[in-house]
Amino acid sequence: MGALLATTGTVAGCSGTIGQNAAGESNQGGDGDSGGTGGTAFVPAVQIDPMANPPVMKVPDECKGMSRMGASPMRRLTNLEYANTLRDLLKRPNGRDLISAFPIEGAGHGFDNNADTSAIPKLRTQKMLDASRLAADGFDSAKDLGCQLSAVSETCVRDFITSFGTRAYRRPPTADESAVLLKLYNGFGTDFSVTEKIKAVVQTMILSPQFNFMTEAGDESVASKEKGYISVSSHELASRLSYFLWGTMPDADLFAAAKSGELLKTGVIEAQVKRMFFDNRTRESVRNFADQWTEQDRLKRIKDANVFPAWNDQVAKDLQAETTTFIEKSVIDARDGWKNLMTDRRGYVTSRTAPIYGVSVPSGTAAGASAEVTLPETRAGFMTRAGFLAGFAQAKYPSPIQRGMFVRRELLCQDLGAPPPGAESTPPPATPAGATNRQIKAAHAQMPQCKGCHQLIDPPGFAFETFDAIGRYSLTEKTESGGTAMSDTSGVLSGTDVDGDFKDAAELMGRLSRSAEAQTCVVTQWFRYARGRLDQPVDKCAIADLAGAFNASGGDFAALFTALATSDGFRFRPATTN
Amino acid sequence: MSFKGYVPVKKGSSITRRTLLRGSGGVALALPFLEAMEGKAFAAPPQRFILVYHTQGMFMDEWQPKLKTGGAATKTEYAAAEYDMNSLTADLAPYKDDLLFLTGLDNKISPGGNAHEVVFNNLLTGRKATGQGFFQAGGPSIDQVISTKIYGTSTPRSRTVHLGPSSSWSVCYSTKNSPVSRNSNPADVVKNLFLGVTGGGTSMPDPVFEKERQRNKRMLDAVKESGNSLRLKLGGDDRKRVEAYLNDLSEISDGISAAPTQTSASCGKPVLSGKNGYDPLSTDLSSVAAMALACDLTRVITLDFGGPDNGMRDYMKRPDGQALPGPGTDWHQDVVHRSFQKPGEFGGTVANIAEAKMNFRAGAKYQQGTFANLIGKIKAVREADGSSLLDHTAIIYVNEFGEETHGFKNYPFMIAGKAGGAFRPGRWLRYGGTSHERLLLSMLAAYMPTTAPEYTGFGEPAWNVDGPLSNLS
Repeated sequence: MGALLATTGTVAGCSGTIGQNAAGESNQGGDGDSGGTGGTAFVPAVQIDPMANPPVMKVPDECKGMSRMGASPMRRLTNLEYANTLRDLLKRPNGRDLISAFPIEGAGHGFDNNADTSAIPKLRTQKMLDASRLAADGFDSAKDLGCQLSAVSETCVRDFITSFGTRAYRRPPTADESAVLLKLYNGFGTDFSVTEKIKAVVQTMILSPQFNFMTEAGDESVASKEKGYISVSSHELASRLSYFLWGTMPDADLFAAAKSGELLKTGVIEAQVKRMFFDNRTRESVRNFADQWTEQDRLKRIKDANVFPAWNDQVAKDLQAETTTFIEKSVIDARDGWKNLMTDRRGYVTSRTAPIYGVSVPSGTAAGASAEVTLPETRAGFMTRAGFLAGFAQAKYPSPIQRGMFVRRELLCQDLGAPPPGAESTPPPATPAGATNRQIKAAHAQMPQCKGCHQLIDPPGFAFETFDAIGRYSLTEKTESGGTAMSDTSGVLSGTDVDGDFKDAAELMGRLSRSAEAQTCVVTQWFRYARGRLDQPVDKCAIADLAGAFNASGGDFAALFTALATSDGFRFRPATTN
Repeated sequence: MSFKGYVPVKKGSSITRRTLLRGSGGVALALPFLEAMEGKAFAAPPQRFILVYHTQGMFMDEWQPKLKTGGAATKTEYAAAEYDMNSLTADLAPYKDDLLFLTGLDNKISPGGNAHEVVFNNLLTGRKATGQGFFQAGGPSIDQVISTKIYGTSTPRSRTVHLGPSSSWSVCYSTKNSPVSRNSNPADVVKNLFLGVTGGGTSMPDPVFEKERQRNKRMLDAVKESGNSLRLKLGGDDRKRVEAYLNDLSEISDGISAAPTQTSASCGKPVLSGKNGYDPLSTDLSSVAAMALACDLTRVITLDFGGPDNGMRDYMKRPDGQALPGPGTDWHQDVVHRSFQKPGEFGGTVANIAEAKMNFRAGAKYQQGTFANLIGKIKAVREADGSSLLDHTAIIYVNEFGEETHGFKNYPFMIAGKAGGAFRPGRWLRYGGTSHERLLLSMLAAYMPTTAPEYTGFGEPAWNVDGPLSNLS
């Protein structure tokens, strides 16, 4: 269901003004508090280095003694997790070929692993039938059955069901489950060979809900920390860890720690996170997070070929890879990851994307390969990557509204609600010929029914106005009527914990890098990704703890991941299922 | 237009022993059944339902029927003899008597928010969105509900079939918030849906297929059996999700075993163009739809063709004969939005708006042409009793928006076919801004007794008060 609310509430200034629209209707949340976000006091020039002036994080007083547990709804494997898991389960080179015909996921709120949107559409079920067949056909009975094909005893089949089933179900199969599989094996007639029968058993496991859903029974034998909650089992914890950090099934090491039960100890979890963190699979998972968080599929949208003749699919791919790499390095390689994410100027350019940044590729770079460069000072942090800027833009013009909405919704976790009825079909006031993109958008924001939210959305969006629809920097812009005008990037940030003015994107990013609200929001995004669900109001204290740990570490994502993996909510679940 | 690979139309006597063997998937039929078939009248063909979905609105003045008198429409009903097709619907002229035009229907369920998201969530579910964004529909869409009523006691190979270019949004929902995905690959549909059907009454049961079918059946039974033990340990929503998955697997499994029961002589495996591009795709998907109904593999099909930005450009022609803009054009912004603007709004000028309108017309006219193509294919199929498939089918045309840009007023609805007498085409009915939800109720009423409890249960009760539209049959 989509009614889950973000922990951070509606911005008061938006709902307050919206409530005054002529129709008197509002589907905004919030209490109508007219919090006074319009005028803002002057704040001295922003320090670009957030560590010189770091966000101040404190756990709210009301969190003393509050539960940190929260819901654990069942979710299914995402398309990517499905591919990765079959890759590892069946020792394939990769699993991407198996999901090529699966329906596209996403478009829901949060990440694609969100339990709310993880029903399996029937077309996917049909495709899973095909994919599981293809995967099972690749099973090599001669090598992986565990006994000689010429003399397959019932014991051999039983042992196989237990060993393979433990990996496929990510826990030992129950006696009932094993019996069903054995019955299946024995039920085939003589026109089925041993190999065919084993493949059918393998395919059956891959088709089972036990494989496709992350079901958890919990372990009642482990002492509960809080009434109404039980510990997840050690095998369930192994899956939680491996799907969070690696986007795939547990490896042998995790299975061993699960089997011994050691994995339930805090120190062992910490050691596992440490072991897993620098593995390539964590990098892949971070890249997956980055692609979804920054909505990189937007780069598939069209760009006007008359205005941007050099734009093509390969440029879009290079730029997507760059934004993703930038975030990956911030999370995995930088121990001051927060600072890196928000303010760093390193870029990863190819010969195709270097012109967009006005830089050259270092000599010696292989054709088509990306190389690290330092970008001009106009760039600071992930939102100034050309891939991000091109995604949050229209075919011809930059979109300050989409960029501003990203700041509010995805970087500050503020919920502004939906536009009022008719907002989209009401034309804005006419603007004179020669008006800039900003002036056209600003005219719209002056309309009474738009003003409340757009005075919050548009200013941070305008900060990026010198970056055109493919992310190139220019102080001037081509107007709709064909002339040239100066772009205006200055503005005042309001409705945040770091309100104040800025002259351009780099200053805005510097300001946001000092925001505890923004830091908490990025932590919230990771909470959503790690837990496979949206945060609810009851998660506020758990997230405050995590943000506190992240902040105290100097913005080190390794510390955040460890805190997440050892948090109560990650280790306990409601005693009754959803 | 011709159906490659179809056998010539014959009367019901063309059902042969082989057809029956094929139709039953090779399972030996009890002889009395075979005897019963011979020399007996065929049962009335079943009702079918097709929904065609296009996006981005319509110039209603150029779409709705044009009165022969030349004046403005004043009556609430006109007979086909009183009007001609309009400029955007010119390609539909051969089917004028097969079409029921419905204008003056508004989408009144819209609560605000992004207009596209609102429509994707409410247009076919008749319910308010459960939240912002895509996939927030308040209930099942009309096609899904009809599919629960249309089969009686028979088992279809696939309860519904959803075709169209793939994308991450959906207008059809199986239940609340659960979108239905479309299949964009005609060859893939042919492979799965038409398993064991080769057409023309010439096929024999395939032993390889038979072994495969047995294997699948045993496997899926095992998945169900062990899935049930898991299901019982879950509660609430988790359990429902696993149940839904197991049910879908059952349906697929039953479908693989299910035999086409109402095999018409037109039934055959569709022959695809094998070409890329929007036009071959829409033609192929229409062929697949026609054959899926002809072979009774399903009775409910949605064809979600999306908008003109989905690659139709190569096949569109502007009414003024000028060239269309290049493939780099942002169709949504520079054509659709712009063509509904007034000079001065968002940089619109008299010239660029006129230009946008020409492009819009090219897209809209092409879309109507693809609809005409589909009607032609359905009409050409002969049922087992010799009647046209179109007599037993309703093809409802639905657009995302109405007469304004991203607006909810005056949608261009039309219904082709009679659905076994539920609709009386060859007319234009005009409504003065009533809720389109009433049309959804009428669609439902066409496929189920009005006394059924589900009948009034569909959609948002607040929009149900006036009941279905009258005078459709």
